[in-house]
Amino acid sequence: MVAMSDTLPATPRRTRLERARRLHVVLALLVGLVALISLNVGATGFSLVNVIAKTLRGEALSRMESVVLWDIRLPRLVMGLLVGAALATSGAVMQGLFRNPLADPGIVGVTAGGMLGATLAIVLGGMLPAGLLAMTGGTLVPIAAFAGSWLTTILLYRVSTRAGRTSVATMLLAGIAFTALAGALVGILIYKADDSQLRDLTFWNMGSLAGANWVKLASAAPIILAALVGAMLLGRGLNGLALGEATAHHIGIPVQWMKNGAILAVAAASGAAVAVSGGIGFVGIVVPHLLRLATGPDHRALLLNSALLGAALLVAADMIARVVIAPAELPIGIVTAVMGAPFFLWILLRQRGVVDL
Amino acid sequence: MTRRMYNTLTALMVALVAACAAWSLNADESTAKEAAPADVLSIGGDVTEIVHALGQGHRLLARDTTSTWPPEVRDLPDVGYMRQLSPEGVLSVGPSLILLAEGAGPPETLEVLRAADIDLVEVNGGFDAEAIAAKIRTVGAALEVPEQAEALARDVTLALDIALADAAAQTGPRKRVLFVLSAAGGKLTVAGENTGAAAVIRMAGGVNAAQGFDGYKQLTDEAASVAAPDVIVMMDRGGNHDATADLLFSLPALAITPAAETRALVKIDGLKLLGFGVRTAQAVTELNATLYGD
Amino acid sequence: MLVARNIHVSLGTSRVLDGLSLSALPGQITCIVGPNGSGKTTSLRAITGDVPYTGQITLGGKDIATLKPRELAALRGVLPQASTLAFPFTVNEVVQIGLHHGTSGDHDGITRAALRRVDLLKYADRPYQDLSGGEQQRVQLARVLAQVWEPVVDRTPRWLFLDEPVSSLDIAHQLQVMRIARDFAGAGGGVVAVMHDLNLTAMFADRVILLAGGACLATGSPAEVMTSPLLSRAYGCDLQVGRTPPPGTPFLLPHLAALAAE
Repeated sequence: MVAMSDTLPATPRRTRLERARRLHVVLALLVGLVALISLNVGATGFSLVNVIAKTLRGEALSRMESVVLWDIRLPRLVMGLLVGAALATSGAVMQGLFRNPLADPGIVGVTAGGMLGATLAIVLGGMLPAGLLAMTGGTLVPIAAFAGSWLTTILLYRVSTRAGRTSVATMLLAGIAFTALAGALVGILIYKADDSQLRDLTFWNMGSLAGANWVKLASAAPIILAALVGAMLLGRGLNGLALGEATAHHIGIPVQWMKNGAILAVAAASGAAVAVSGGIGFVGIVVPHLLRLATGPDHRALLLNSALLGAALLVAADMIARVVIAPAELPIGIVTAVMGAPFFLWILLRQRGVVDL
Repeated sequence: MTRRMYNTLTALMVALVAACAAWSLNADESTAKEAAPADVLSIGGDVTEIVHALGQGHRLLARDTTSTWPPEVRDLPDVGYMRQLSPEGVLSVGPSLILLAEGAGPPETLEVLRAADIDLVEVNGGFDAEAIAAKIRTVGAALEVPEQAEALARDVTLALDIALADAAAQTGPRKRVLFVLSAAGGKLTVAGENTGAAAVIRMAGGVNAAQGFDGYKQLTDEAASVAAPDVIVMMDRGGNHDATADLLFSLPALAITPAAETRALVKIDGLKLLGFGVRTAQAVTELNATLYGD
Repeated sequence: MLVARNIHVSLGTSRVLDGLSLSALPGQITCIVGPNGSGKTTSLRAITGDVPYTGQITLGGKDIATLKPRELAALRGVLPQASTLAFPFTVNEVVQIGLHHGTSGDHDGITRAALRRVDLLKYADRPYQDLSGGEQQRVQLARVLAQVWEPVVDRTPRWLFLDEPVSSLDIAHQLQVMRIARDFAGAGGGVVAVMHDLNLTAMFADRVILLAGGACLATGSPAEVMTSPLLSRAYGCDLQVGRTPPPGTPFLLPHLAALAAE
């Protein structure tokens, strides 16, 4: 054996994975902190601290306090946490699946399909029979958006899967085609739309958590949570996939099952997120990328950290959206774009060479 | 390097969150404000006009972005675009009564407001005198000034009747009027049938040059020249009248229309023209005067 | 034992493997050699389940078509000819990716030992993408070794399938890698390597399979297979085994480098 000096450090340094796992705790605390502050902050100026003090003294809350806390801030907080976690984790999973740090859930058609569904609901919703309309009420658009994103994902999956094997490259290209097609259909619908429908569409596109209520959460939360739990199981598989599909297969990863699982989780999580909150961008790309730079690309920790950081960031962004032009409100998609884009550029400029396409 | 970035990021986040917390502590004072006479939030430019016309302007706490008249309402806080109201934002101005023009929303926000035990009064729309009178009566009832409302409704209906009669008394050919919502990028968005603009044009004794479609749509260049408008009407957004006229009549779509020959461009305040509130009679008279000269 | 019977593989419209049959025994290094286009890599890909094939391939008595990826991974490790890495993992992390469930618990120990075998322990915390091509190939070998660290488990021999394992390495590291293969076989594991380099094959192989035109031309010990007539026929040019070039022309055989080091 060729003798070389092995530099064996006396005690092995903490691995990146261990640091990433410690980050779980830090981020969980951050989420808790941001959540509490978010409940404390709002245009009406009601403070959570006062509410807690009152409850401890045995005083009843005023009607206003009760509504603000239970019907406005709390559902909004929960939705922000869920949507933020869903978008960030979906981004990380997509990047792992497509082996590219620029992938986002839109690649599997979720965003385009969701937008098409929402546009159909907004523009043609009035054509539904009055009884049906009354029944669905404000949930027509989210339901249509969710259905739209699922249908698109299923279609894309069918197109790129042959003989039980999904070609990721085909999916990427087909996704581009579908997005263009969906865009064209949306364009036709936009033409048909009247003034108020157009405005509704514009706002939907910019994303907002303002419509959060317990009804929407009751349907979106189980889907998102189930998808997130499922996504967490993909960690080892996505690591292996980074070496290429053939090698992933060689080391024992059931590649096709993983792809199915990943696409399912992403379609569910980001489909539900887009359905209830519209088009919020950047979270899916910026959050996983930040975490990779901080503690490495090991998916076993990256997926959970993405969920936590995404949740915290989105709730923080929502706080800004609610407060900065009170009593009016900024669509949250604007906040994430304004926060996300320059920051992302800054990161890229400082870390040239790390992103290898 | 990454450790430092990580720390910077954490510090930034903490600062951001602390800023919001500090803001919230400062904002505590606003809740204590027990608005004595002012207790009404008015959503919709036409509704706000009516509130003022009923002499109840002092009761307004805040308004929405479309409420631009009379000028003093612009000093009130703006809760944002009427179709995308934020529930907490609305609650923060502390109204006990909210007057909602048609189309205010979204429905989730209205639900939360109802849950907060705030009175929501919906003021339905419409493009004719009866609709305007109904609006006035609804607002008057909500504000508990029914007699003033009745009086105002009568006055407005009368004014409008007079304006319509004047317009109808016009002899001679009717002028063809094209309402242009926007000419951005050289593309004309105009008012077809079933729009407020079409209704006003008709009331002012004109003929809507853009026929055959509903709502505000884009007109192709050829369709615009076939429409052959005699007069172009636009909303007044400030700015130089001549410059707008130059721009408009240099467009190939309009350059060969009768309107171009006489540079017949009329600009009227958008809320006055299309709000269907208390100034509609005025708008009709103004438009009629411009069309046929008096 | 690895047995492949009557394997046909078509890629696109061309028939790459035409009724190939071969076998390999554990405890031996079996090298597959042949000219470009003879189907060497394709035969390995069929054995590792990367391309669809007709025919039967059994490993340790089990038909590989019936085995799940996890079961296959417990039996054999595969070193591909070239690897990509999509994200900035460190060398240590890449080797760890190879560790599959159920190996002996000391993951960290195995990773370090594997890196030491390929002489790259000092780079353990470096980003994989910063290494040279040859170094990256050795890291991949470490990963494969970590995956099947024990050459024999529960009396079942495990296998290394190596696709041109030394093509981007310098002589010293070529010898190091071949010795790793020999140690693995010596401990009871099976090694099947697709090789370009006939000299290294001659030095280390226990059995040689010579492919030409998608089928097996000859099998046997190196001495039996690597004869001038057989090699010339397979490679399509006049090859002279065992002769030295005219004096004055420098030539260097790895055989002698090995002898000097030992």
